[in-house]
Amino acid sequence: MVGLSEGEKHFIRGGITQDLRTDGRKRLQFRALSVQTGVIPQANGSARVRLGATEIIASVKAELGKPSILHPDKGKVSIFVDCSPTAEPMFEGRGSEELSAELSVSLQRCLLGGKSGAGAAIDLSSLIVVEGKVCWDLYIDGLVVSSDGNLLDALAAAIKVALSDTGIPKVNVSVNAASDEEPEVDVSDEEFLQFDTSSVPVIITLTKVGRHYIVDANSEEESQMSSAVSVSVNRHGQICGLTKRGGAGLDPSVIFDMISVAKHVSQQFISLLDSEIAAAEAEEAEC
Amino acid sequence: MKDRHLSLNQTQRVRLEAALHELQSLAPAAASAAAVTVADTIPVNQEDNILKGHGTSDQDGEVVATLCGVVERVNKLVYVRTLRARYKPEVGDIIVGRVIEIAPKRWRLEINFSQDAVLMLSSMNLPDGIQRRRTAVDELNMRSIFEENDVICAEVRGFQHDGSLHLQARSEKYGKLERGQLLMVPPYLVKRKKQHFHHLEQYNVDLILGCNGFIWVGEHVVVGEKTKPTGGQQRFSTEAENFTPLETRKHICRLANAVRVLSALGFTLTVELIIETMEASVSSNAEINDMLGAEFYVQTAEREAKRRADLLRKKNGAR
Amino acid sequence: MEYVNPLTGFRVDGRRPNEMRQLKGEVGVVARADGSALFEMGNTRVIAAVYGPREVQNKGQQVNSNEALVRCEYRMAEFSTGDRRRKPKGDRRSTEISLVIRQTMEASILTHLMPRSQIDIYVQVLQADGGTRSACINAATLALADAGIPMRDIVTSCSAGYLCSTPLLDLNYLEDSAGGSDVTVGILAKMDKVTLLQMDAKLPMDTFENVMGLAIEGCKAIASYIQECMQINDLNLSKIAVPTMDITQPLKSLTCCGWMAFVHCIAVHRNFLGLLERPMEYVEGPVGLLLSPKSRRPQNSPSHFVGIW
Repeated sequence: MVGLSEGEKHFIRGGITQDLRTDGRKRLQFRALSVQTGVIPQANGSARVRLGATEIIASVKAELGKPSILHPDKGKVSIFVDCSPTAEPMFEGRGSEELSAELSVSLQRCLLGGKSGAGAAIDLSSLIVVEGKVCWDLYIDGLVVSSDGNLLDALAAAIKVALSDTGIPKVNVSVNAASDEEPEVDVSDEEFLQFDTSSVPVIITLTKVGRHYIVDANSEEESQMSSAVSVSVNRHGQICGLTKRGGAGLDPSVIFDMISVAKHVSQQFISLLDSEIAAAEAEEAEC
Repeated sequence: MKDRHLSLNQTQRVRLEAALHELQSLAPAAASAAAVTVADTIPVNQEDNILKGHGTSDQDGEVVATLCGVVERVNKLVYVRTLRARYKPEVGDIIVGRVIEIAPKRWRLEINFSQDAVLMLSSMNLPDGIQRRRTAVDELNMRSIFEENDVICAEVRGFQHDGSLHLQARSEKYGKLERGQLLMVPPYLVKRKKQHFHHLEQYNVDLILGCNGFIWVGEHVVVGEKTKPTGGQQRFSTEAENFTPLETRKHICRLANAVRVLSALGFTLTVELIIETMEASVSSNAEINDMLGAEFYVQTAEREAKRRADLLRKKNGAR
Repeated sequence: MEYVNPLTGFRVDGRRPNEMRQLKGEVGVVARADGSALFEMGNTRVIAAVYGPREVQNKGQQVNSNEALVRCEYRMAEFSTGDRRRKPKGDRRSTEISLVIRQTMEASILTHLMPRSQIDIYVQVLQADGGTRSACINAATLALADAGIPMRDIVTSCSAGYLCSTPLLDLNYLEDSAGGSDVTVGILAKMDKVTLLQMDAKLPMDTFENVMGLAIEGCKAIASYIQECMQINDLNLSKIAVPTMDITQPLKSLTCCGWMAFVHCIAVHRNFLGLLERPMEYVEGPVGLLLSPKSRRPQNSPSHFVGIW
């Protein structure tokens, strides 16, 4: 993340004002998106998403665990993000901890809903095996392999694709277990239940530069931002989460405007992502 | 070839492979004979006093390569020319760099070399143009000439004893670069030529091909206005409406995308090739952003293959 | 558990005892790095990225200013192993492997050619299935060659073990955790020197010699594969980059510059005309054109000549 000179910043601001960014995109245009599924065979589901030069690998692993006492009828999901130093030398050692923590928390907020689990994008009650005793723990891991801006959107897209690739093994519970004993579960190797990802949202980050907003900022444009609002929208146009970053204050009317722009852009992005997922799955089926 | 983030469909992949294959077959046959990888022995005639140049080392009396590349022989000198390495400076090179740090009486620049380059205050023209001794006041006002993160065009003056590079920017054509964008490509794609500053009149654009792989594409600035002292932030905020005009901006973006595509394909960058690629995009009515897409990528490869084939045919016909 | 089938002699994954897993190496996977490589040994997948040589960031770490500073970091992705690891970085195993890789590569890099600079090697494990140490070293070698950093020799590494009274080459995770011994060897391929040797569990001496010999054979096989990868990659790049010379160009510039300059060129550069007929880039044989870096080239001459520095 090298700094930019005043002249270059001026040029970028001018481009955004004139609706012609440095690589020729319009303000609300995404970079080239490419999707691959099944990249990590050991995981239950995995995906690799490239948005321009940003590359993310996401994997979903399911393990059997005990549900929490407060919510005995829900499974557990946890999301972690790691930034690999191969992407940027400054991610070495503990350099990436702050960024990883921020990304993880933002994703959790957008995908998992509140503390009670209400409003989560993933139906947690579908993860339960035996109520109160056994449930599935989903561990979603994102790895940033190459970073060129807009990590949050790419991570959310990668997680959505990985979840659509996830297969939870079917579990047969032995019937004759006593009520206070640990039941025996038999995890099947053959049958898998595909995850329902129709309600998993995507995140659209709108970066405000000057008086205009842009979508999918690369790292140069991100260094220019006064503030950024990340809106998580699902297929039905409902907002699942909202995060504002950046030091500059925003007028509430501006935020409402940004939300409506994000909703509009997200519908196109969701349909693009769905077609890419379908293409990737078709390709995987061929292999 | 390296930026594989393009998803090509089947037909595009086939066309790309055909074009690349043709390009490889057109290269002079001597190339494959002289290619060498790390720890390969270089065949030399033992009787001559061979000078072992860069990329070679002496092990047990044999000349062994330490790099992957092509063996070059000039008279008694044998060396290995590698492709994908950091910039290798030569005196007199024109380079583009970014200021990292301001140190006493000098600026440190990052130029894609193993060390930062140094631009002394005395190697820089003062804003008022008078040739005089630099005083302490000048030293305190260094930031008014160049700040951190500024992009500067300069020339390599020489090497210091510790291997670091010294630059000079005394001429009018060197200095701060503004109103444009900086691109980074592998240094081996920029060959040393007579001219590195290109003023493309028809587009009103300045194109500077730095030998270190930093390429500047920007709005044309009349020579002589470059080294004016800036008021920093305030200058730009008052000129908020003074952005680059849209037409020039379109040309700048097209040229920049042409450079990106050519460097992704691995073709040597020359002004003619860049302009040709850009004009092909205009004539095929491709959107500026589509120049970074798969279709244009494949088309550029095909065009270059055809051009080289024609050139070879002409050369063979002329013989 | 039968790691080697007594009847057929096949291992758990169908290999013979002296057979290595499938190798796959790819160069140039991280665009931003100076050099990068992806290396796969069976199911173990590793990405290595090299940044450098560049200016030393932390002057306190630089011990010897006549040599380059080599730094290395090893990281495993959380999803790389079968059971999910928490805290994949900063734990003792990662620190130890980072140190091991750094020492192994430092033995081969010609650090005295790049004084006052630093070379960073970052290794990220995507999938771990035994032999991660070796895969990391092999990937780092490819990445360093891709970055154009001069090396004494190719460093390769392979592991071998001893189970069911048979020396086994290239253990996977199952065989590694079987409790038998695991010998990891890293060698400088052409010079035939060992730079890394680690072993756990115990082995009688003569068995150890057999196992180590087997590992060294594996290393040599990997070295020839890595050389192939480098050759293919480099050849493709050089063929595509270098255009067949624009022969018209030097002639054009000749007519542009004045007659005096032409005479000057002829006087200064011998074999000038002889040079024009050949493609410029591959100059072989006794072409007499040795330019020292200090001599300033005459302004009007075409600078196609091979400059020596």
